[in-house]
Parts: sequence; structure tokens; C-alpha cells
Amino acid sequence: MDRRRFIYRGSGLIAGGMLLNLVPLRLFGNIAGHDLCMVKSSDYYKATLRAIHELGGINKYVPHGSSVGFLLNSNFEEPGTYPRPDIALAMLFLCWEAGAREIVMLQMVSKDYWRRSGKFDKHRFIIDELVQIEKNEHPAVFNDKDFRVMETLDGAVHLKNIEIIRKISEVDVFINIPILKHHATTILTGALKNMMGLCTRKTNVTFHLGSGVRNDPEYLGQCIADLNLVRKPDLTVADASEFITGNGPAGPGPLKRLDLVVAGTDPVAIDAFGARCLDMEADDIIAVKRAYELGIGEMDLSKLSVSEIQA
Amino acid sequence: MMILGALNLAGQEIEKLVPTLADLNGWKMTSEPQIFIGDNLYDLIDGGADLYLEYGFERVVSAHYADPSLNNIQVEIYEMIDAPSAYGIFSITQQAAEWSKQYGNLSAVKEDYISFWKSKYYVNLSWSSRQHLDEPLLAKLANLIGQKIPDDGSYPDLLQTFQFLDPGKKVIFLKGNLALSNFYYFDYKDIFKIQEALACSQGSHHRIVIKFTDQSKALEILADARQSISNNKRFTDVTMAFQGFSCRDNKGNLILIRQIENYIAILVALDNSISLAPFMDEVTQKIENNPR
Repeated sequence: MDRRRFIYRGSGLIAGGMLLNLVPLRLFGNIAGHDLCMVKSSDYYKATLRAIHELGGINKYVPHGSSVGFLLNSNFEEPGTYPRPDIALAMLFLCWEAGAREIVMLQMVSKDYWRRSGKFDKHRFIIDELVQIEKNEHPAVFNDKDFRVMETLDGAVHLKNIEIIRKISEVDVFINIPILKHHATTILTGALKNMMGLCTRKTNVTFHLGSGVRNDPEYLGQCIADLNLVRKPDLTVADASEFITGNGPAGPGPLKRLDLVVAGTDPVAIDAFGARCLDMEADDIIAVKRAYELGIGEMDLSKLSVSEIQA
Repeated sequence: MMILGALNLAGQEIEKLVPTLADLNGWKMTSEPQIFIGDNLYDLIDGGADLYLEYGFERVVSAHYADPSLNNIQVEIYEMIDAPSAYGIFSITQQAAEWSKQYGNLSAVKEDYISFWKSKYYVNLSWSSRQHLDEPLLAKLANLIGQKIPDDGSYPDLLQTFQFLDPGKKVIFLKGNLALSNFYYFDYKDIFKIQEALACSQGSHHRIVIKFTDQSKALEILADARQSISNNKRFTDVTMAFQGFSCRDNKGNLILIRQIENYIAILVALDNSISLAPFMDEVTQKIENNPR
């Protein structure tokens, strides 16, 4: 990728906005800021822009010239099983507009995924310059160039010898983009579980089988919580627009539509909200409970400043 | 990953079910068929393999084709431990779809995929990307595979016992707590110690019937389940009822749970204007009129 060109484009904020025919953006956002912002709209692109604005604007999270890593749960086909590409495209655009030096897809995202959006063509100039870690595609196999082994992880209860993408500790900014949806074993898969997309298949299989007991949701939930000690996302933008409430994670399953985009810095809080989307409480989801216990975030939404907006 | 090495060990039979290019004039196979055995299923399924393993997954062959219109088609043929398990995984994964007898014993057909079960096999065919909507070609593959599976296999005994063989009723066969949680969520812990159960939605309510080895086991599990539900804040109003108890879930839905011989029957009201008692009596009669 031509990084200088990318920075240059990132400097052309107004031009970028005009090019994409978007409403003018206030990059510095709402001064007050919130812990969590939920925007209700059937225009998911606009909802995403608004959510980030409410959180204080993209410049609060993405400094000019920074490298940004995206973790995007795009590898599903059925409706309600993957984040809408409009949400991811809005985040790409914001990062581009903020002057990101590079945007790295920490897990491979195919062109087919982006093509599901009607905004694909208008964003192609950003998509074409994305850095892809091509070897991090299911089932990811360890290689020295792209992965490293973390033999221990401070605070982790179970996890050790994790094979994880090197870039996760190299990018300046880490943005997690999950969908909040049903999962047969963990009940909810959202921000916390999406982190498994950073690891090799070998590591992820230990989450499922490592306790020696097959289908051990306690062990799996603790491993997911442990993994979130590697790095807390600087920003999480979750799709709660329409999602499966059963037969997850791949579906097809019954769909629930809320038309919500949820953004914040606390993955535990976002998954606590995800539990509610599935008519559960936060402490019904083991990973949420264990991540809270590890101090990764807050599971009691009443303790947070939550902005709810109808866009 | 199990690829050709595995083919020589245990996958010979399942490999024969994959349509060859001789069957498909003008098609291409875009990669060699791959076989995944046992826990290597995690290499194929990106999330959700646990459920297949709970149902007794043995092996799967995965093949990718490109048809003359350049549609990419993925075929997965799952071999389960027996025919009831194949029915089970079909029933739980396709619970949201309409069922018909179009392919195999039962199938779910949508614009972009066909799923069916026959004998101990559960078959999935899907467009991974499509240039043209050309469903007959997907149908052709489904028919070819269906014809290669020699026998139909039998439905789970429980379905036969209760004569739930009408595909319109969409009765789900459960073999563990993951499957139950995929139908109705009680607890991540296996509070009903499920080995085999039936579940279906009846519009106004869900029905779940769990079979145990004997009556004393059913009684013991009922008592333990009542304790677990009493301690779970998602459930309220836990009250003793005839041969069991009732409670409400966090949506306010009434739940009635009763031990009947070596079974536990669970009814979950989806419409609180209805009374569950007549439905529970119907289930009770059905159990009492059937052999154990």
C-alpha cells in the first residue's frame, strides 16, 4: 500500500466527505462523550457515524498517521450472522478521514463481504488499500511471520501458549467490529468472543477441548475472558441491527431486528448489552461474567453513561 | 487438517457420495475434496462445531464446485454416528426453515441452499457466491447425492413412539444440553441431564419431552432441576405443581414441568392467555398410552 498517499488522502477531510456525498462530520464529536452509545436507525452507515460522534469523535481514538487494526467478524453468510458491511465501511471511512496511515484487517476479509453493501463502489478506494493478513483465514495455521506465541498472559486463569496475530500488539489503534448474536455454546457471541479471530485454529480448539471435558461452557467462557487480557480494543462497534437469536453462530436462525449500532470502549459493557438483546442478563453469559471478574470492563450498564439516540 | 491422508484411512465410503465430474458435465471441482474426522471438525466449521459433536459427528467430506455459469457451490456431507443423529442435527440446525420431503427423507430448501438428511448423513449444499441464480443446478447436486446414499435410515425411536413423523410438525430431536439451549435456554449447565429428547413449537407454546432410563432417574433429575431453576434469577414464581413444578421465565412466560413415568415433560407458554394444563394432560396421555 502507498502509505504516503493514504495519509495525504486522510488529510483531505472535507474533500473526502464531499467525495462520498456524506453529511459533514464533526471529527471531534460530542465533547461530553459517553461510555456506550446506541444509535437506532435503519441507515446503519449513518448510525455508525453518529455513534462515534457521540463518543467524542474519531480523532479521540485514531490519531493522524496511526496504524489501525480492524477485527471484523465477516466470515458468515446467513443474514444476522455477520456485521453489516455498512457499519464496517463507515468505520473505515472515519479512520481514513482521520488520517490513518494504514488500516490492517487482522483477520482476512473477502471482497465478497464488502460487495454486500450498496456503498462498496464509493468506498473501493479505501478497500483496495487495506492491508490484509491473508494467512489469518479460517482455519488459521501458525506461521512465524504473522503469528507469535504468548506463553503466558498476566492474569489469565487458563490460557497459555496462545498463538496470536503479531499485529495485534503492533497497531496503534485496535477496533473490534462484532455482531451481537446467538452462539450454541456460549449463548452470546459478541465483542469478547470475537477476539478468537486473532488466534490460530489450534489455539481456539483448546478453548473448546482444553479442560478435558467436551462442551465445557465454563472453561470456554473463562478462556474467552482470558484472551481479552491481550489487548482491550480502543473502540468496539457492534452490530445489533438484526441478528440470529438461535442456531448460532452460523445460522440460519430466527432473526430479531433492533436497528441498533452500539459503540463504546468497553467490550464487557457491549456484551452485557448483547445479553439483553437475547433476553438474557449479563451474568447469564459466562464470558461476560469472567471478563468482568478479570477487570476488563463493567457488566452493570446502570453504572455507565449510556447515550441512546434515534437517528 | 485431514485431507488426502484421511481419505485412505476412514473416509472411503463418504468420499463415494461426492458427485464426480463425470456426473456433472461442464462443471469443475475448484479444490480436492477434504475430509475432516472427529475433533478436526473445528478446522471446517468456524464456530458451532460443538453442536455437531454433541450429536455424534463422525466425519465430513467438503467439496467445492464451479458450475458452467461460474457459480461457486459448496457441498458438505456429514456422517453421523447413526441415522437418528443425522435426523437430530438436521432438525436442530434447520429449525427456522420450512421442511419438505423434496430431497432425502426431509429437506430444507431456500434460495441459496439445500439441506437434507438421509440414512446417517446430513447434507448441506450452498452457494458461497453466485453470479446467477440457477437453483436447478444445486438441485441436481442434491439429487445426485441423495441417490448415492443407498438406504433411508430410521427416524429416532422417540419420534416413532410418539408418531411425530409429519414434517410439517418440525419435531426436533435433542441429544444434549447444547441442542436444548438452541431450542429453549434454561442454563449452560445440563440441568436435565439430557440423553435424548423431543422438542417442538406448537404456536402458543413449546413442548419438550425428555426420556430417562427409568422413573426413579426422572424423579431425581426433576428434583435437581427444580433446585437449579429456583437458584437461577432468570426464573421466578417457582411453585410446586402436580408431579412437578411451574415457574416463569424472564419474559414472563409460564413454564410447566412434570414427571410422567420415565419422562419429564416441559411446556413453555408463548402466549400467556392460554392455559398449559390441557396441553400437559395431552402429553401425559400420550406418554401413558405408549410403551416405555
